[in-house]
Amino acid sequence: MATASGGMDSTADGLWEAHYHHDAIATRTLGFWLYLLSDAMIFAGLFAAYGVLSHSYNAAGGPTLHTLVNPLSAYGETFAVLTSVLAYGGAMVALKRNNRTGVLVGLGAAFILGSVFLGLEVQDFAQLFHAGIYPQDSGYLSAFFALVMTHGLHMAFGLLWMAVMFVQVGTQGFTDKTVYRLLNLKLFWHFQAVIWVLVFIFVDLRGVL
Amino acid sequence: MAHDAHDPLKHPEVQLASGRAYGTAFLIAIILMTVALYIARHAVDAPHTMLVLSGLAGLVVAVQLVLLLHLNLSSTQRWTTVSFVLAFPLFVIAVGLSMWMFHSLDARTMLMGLMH
Repeated sequence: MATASGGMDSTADGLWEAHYHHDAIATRTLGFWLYLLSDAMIFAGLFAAYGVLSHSYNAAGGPTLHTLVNPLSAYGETFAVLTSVLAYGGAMVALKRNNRTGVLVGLGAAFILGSVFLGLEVQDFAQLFHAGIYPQDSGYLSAFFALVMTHGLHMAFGLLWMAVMFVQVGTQGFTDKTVYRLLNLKLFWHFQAVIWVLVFIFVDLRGVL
Repeated sequence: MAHDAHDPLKHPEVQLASGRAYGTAFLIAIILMTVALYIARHAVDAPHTMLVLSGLAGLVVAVQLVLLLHLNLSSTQRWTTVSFVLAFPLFVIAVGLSMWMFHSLDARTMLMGLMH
């Protein structure tokens, strides 16, 4: 396998590979999954901070969830994320069938829907800032913004990665490298959808109650 | 290299993709999130509403983990599942214990008397 030793192509590596059939795609996918689990610990920390600080006592007299969240906009964002995951799934099915156009169409659709999500979220934040609500105003607001913005930042990096993969699949086709990157991006993108479901329920809908 | 005859698209990780699984996961997630939105907007101050919403979130996450992230015990996915099962208690401990600790501080310290 051309990429198994990451470029350090010594004789020892070659022998090792010939013997054990180093499976680079499986290794890199599991490695990236372990990264995602540690990334999930960051979200666990942010959810814990939010759970502790989202008590009106920590709002210092300022706004609480009820004023911060817009459930219909959040529902639109949920719809965009889930549809984007579905579109990425279409790309994965096309990959299985060796259909390069299908992968590009799926990636493009997932990118556009992900951008819709980010656009709606940026609009929500802009409205809060316009109303004079900033993260530094209270512990409550810091915890709220830190959690939602960290997820938004992950989504932005996912979109950047998707744009890069669009170009790489378009120019290089399905090589070992582009295939494992598409698989890792799949894990990353689906993982962000899981986090978003938790944000939607425990931040947005909790704010409606 | 040694295995130049191989085709990355034949890899089990690629072959996992299933249109039916994606469609099912999408429908379940959309339906349950719509139900959650409806419950939240029409809740008549029921004390268990948040519990019901948490249940819906848990259900959707479970569906995503099984259908989209393929957590199962097949030979290719076993270690993905094992690493998740080992990490999951850490999430529960980090979030659950922090919240329990801070929310019960009032009752377990004498601050209550000082604040009121």
